[in-house]
Amino acid sequence: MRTAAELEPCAASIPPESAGARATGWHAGFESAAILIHLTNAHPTADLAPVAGSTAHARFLQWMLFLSSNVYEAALRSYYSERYSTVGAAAADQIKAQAVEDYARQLELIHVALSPYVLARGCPPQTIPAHARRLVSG
Amino acid sequence: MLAGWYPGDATALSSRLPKLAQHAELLRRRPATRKAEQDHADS
Repeated sequence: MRTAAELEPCAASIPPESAGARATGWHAGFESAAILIHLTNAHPTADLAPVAGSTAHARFLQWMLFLSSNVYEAALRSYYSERYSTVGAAAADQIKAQAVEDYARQLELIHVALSPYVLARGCPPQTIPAHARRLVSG
Repeated sequence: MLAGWYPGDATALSSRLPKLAQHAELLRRRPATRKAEQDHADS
């Protein structure tokens, strides 16, 4: 059985010796959105995300999963187009063109919600990686 | 991250989605973002 790193070499993970792993006890995680949501829950006083159970938190989860399952997927498809067809590179150009179009369409959806962030309180999911990276690498 | 990986024309994208460009600039100015990007460049 292949490891997560072999299946998705670009996947984020929590380094086992990092502050994030020490603080949360989760040493072998992967999937960026899961890692980031976990860190916001593990550090509730750090103000990384809205309070769990609130409407704002529901919106936070919505955008986190949207980024992970749509925007990130389109980015991967555009950069690794040859992986998305049984004919490999022969279909890569068409797959990439569609992926770039999909990527822009998903950014348009986020664009509609920006004011100037997607969460009114000024803590957009996109800022979390910067904070979380400090937790993960510190 | 949001638009940073967009493989198309970034200038055209900014014109088409000006709020997204403004958002990216707001994030770029944050000390935490600058620190994370510096750490990333150093690693």
